[in-house]
Amino acid sequence: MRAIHKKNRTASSKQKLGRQKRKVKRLSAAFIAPSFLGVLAFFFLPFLVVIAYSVVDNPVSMNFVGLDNFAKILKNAAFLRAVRNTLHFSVIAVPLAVGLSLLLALVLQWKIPLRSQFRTFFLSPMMVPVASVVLVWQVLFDYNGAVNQWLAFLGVENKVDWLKSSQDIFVIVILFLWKNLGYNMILFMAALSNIPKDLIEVAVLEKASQFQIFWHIKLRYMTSTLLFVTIMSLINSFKVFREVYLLTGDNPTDWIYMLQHYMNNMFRKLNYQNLSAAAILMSLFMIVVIGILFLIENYFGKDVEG
Amino acid sequence: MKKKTLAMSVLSAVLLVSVFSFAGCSSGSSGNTQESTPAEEESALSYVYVLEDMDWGLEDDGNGYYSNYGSCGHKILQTHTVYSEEGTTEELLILDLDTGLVETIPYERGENSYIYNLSMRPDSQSAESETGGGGLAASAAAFAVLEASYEDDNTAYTVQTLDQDGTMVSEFVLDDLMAYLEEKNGYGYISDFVWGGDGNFYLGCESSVMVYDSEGGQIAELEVPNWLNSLILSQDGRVFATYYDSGYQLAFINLETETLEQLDFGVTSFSSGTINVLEDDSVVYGDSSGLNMYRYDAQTGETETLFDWVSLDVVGYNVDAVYYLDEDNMVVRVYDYTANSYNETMARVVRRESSEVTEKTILTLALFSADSYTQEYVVAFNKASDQYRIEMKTYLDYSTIDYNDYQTYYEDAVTRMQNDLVTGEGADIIMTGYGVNAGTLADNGLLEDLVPYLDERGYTRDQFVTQVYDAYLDEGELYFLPAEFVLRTVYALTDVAGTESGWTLAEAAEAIQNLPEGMQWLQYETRDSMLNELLTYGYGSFINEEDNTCSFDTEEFKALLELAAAFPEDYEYDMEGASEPTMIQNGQLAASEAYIYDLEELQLYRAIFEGKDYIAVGYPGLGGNGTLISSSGSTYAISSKSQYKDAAADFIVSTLTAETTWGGFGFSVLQEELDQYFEEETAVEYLLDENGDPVLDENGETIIGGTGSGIGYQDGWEYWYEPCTEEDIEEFYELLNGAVAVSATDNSEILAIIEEEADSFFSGQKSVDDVAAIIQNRVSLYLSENS
Repeated sequence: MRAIHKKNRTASSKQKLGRQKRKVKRLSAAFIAPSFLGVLAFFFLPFLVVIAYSVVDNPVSMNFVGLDNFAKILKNAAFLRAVRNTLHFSVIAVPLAVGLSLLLALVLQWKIPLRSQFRTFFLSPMMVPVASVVLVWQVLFDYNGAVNQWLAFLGVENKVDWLKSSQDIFVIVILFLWKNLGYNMILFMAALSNIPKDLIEVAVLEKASQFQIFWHIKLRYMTSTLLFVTIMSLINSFKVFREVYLLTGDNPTDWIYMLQHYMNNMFRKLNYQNLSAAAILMSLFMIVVIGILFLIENYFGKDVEG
Repeated sequence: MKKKTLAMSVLSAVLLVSVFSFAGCSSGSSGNTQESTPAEEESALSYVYVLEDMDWGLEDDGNGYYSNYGSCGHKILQTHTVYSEEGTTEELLILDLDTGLVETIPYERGENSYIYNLSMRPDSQSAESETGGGGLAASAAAFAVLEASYEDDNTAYTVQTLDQDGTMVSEFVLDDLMAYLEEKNGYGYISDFVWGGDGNFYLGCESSVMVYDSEGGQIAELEVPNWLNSLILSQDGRVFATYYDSGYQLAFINLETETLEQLDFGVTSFSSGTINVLEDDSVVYGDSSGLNMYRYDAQTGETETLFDWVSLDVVGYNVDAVYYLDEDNMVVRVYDYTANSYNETMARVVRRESSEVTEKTILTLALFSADSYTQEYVVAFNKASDQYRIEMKTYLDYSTIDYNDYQTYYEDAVTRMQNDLVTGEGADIIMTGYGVNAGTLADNGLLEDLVPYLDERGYTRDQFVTQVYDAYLDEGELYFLPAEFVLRTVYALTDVAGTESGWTLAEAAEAIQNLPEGMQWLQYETRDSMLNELLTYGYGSFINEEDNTCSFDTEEFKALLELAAAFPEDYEYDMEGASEPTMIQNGQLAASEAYIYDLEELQLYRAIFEGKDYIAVGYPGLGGNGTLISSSGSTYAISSKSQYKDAAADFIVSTLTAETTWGGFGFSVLQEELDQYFEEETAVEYLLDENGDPVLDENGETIIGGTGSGIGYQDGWEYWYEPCTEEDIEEFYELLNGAVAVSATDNSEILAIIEEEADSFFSGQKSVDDVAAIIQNRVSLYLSENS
């Protein structure tokens, strides 16, 4: 009798627990719902529309053409140029952005004079609107701009056409670094401060060199931050179009013609099908690259996380 | 389980609606996104504005005219000039806007005098007490007249005040003012005259406002930035000035501080004739595009759209004045200037319940900004159609435009319009041309082929001037066609341009390069205009359309840049210099750009080149005979997403035969109308004496009369047009046969790149090699996008 009673009590408490769990689930769903619907409405559904546009002949007649648009843009010289330039830019800018910001974070960890002022200084570009930054860049790198005048002062006779020659990629890289270093640096500084101090103290006691401490401890503990910073830098490098567009307009020289130039110009020409196909290819590329980065993070960082 | 199913169903429905709204699959063709047509705004309210005729019994009997409108409160004062056998007389009319009654006041005008302007004593005395002016209440004067009298090319002005019976109360002359203006500006000119509520008289004099008290003593002179546009009397008797200073401005003339106090009501452009300043500084105004009337509420700072003129079947451009009585009641004065007559009518705008107005199916006409042609076409269509009403959806609002950032504003408008068109939210009818690249729209299937619609309505190809019809065909399809067209060409001496019409870019460049000493190509030519002239149609010489490649880095193109660079950066217009005809006759000028919109223009160029061998060589690189067929006025296309394509086609057909206020500035695209025009133009009219009998020459032959019109240039060269002949018609067809129609927007981006880069060569910053290389680089990329 007692056993039965106990059994009933257990069943009752299980039911109660189940009800509570369901309640928590419902509550969680209610909290998540606005964000979920927002993502659904503003990201997922538009992306479905983009997919739909990518497989039709044009946005008016909407005749299904399969993968023709993809095949077409993969043969288009402007698209291929845009892909090359965007990758070229990312390959140069992303490692620089990650490496330099990590270096800055390490340097600012030391007790150097004016440390907080330096931190503020590197963060300040984040507060300046892009349009203003671009104006400053135009003043600096115009054919008759300040940089060419300084060069002339230093005895360089031939002016450099910074914004309309093969040099323009460097101008954009510098602009990109100037804009993004501060943010990356703050992320790295936060990650550095979270590394357990006792580990480093032990390493110091074991007479490990600074490089060994950095390589075997700090870098391992910062793997996830490193991954996050790399992904954000990569995404930002694909978005550098905004700065390039403000500097050089719709039809720049082919050295800085980015993927988004192609997409923007397709939009203006109402060629939504090519625009959509290009956007999908770009997304697929990003998914693959980010996937690889996650694999790398899993490989190097799982023992630390574990 | 049931609850779960229900929840999933609701979620699914929400998603479905979202999908369709994002995919732009809504079926309505005249919905809106960011813009809304005024009628859509009105329909949200329960009332609409309608127009009611006002019969003042003042029809023009042909023996006089009405002029000089001065308003005050709910009354308008105007002049009626009457011609009779006894001579010309004038009288004053007071129009009561509330009752619709007219009162006549006799006026004794002096010899060689006429009423130049007039004003009415403001009813309000509030402004007077504040400023301590004039003793108006005690005065019997009710009206003020600015009388002009002329003698020996001199005009003298007198300010007179009259009582209710037209008897003069006071008078003072403005001789000192005229002498002062002569000295200041080089001439004396009074543009406006208002009797303020403070009892003072305000005179608009070019860039200043002169203020006189009731005794004729000058009490103030206020300088206005740039040109004074008008003086406006507010409802409470204050006087405001409108002028241009980085946008249109409205400012109160404060005599105490002797300053202009700007009244900011959030617009940069307005039609000054429609401005009404209310007692609390609220402003009722119409935009300068003639589209809408607005009311700015000074208390809330909000602006509401009252109505759009088209919904009242009024062409907003033709609205001369708006008299705001209250929010339910306004009176408008509208002019109608057709080819041979001028009428001015007044009508009342009143507010009615929406339910009292007959509803029609709405067609939407998408356009950047509404020109007067379009407004007239739309109003005529709306009046004629029982079933449909066209509303205009404009994408550029000139009343709030930021002129400092026009490019962004313009590009934003293009994007919004294109989005609307693609999603089918935009329009049934699209005005092509400015901002709308019909080629791009047609390539993307957004435009309907007009041919079957025209055929169905009896307008087959042979009804049209076939050369024009064919020129506008795009691979057998017709997306738009102008109602009227003009021919544009370049006339040049054969010694320079050769004897064949039409030429290549290289031929043109060589001819211009080898001009005889002391001879220039076109008058007022600059390096930019030369580059533009050579490349607007000639840039195609450097483009291989088959494989979308270009050759702007060749020596030929560099030579063109160098040729253009040899021209001056700018020209100085010399008011007293030799005219174009004189320069051609003197061998100083080789060519002239012609805009042929009637047969008389052909005569004019024959006269300009008289005694010289010349040819219509046309634009280099254009193709055909070098002559360009260009639309005179606006062109329209049917959206392939419209639900009312037939009604849209009816509208387009109506534009082909519509008479517009400013019509006749081009040749009709309909062959029958063109033939009729030629017939009228070539009809022989003989010179008649005062009895109507033909005048005979010394041989007893009748004399063919001239047209009575001519053209004169600043240096005295003039030409009086003769009646047109068969020779003119033949010359017209010679130009037309082989003429080409080109969409001006097709090449704008390539030209923009070339002009942008060429500037740095012209200014000496970069070498021709560098500039050519950059142009080649940028244009190559642009072209490769299309491959």
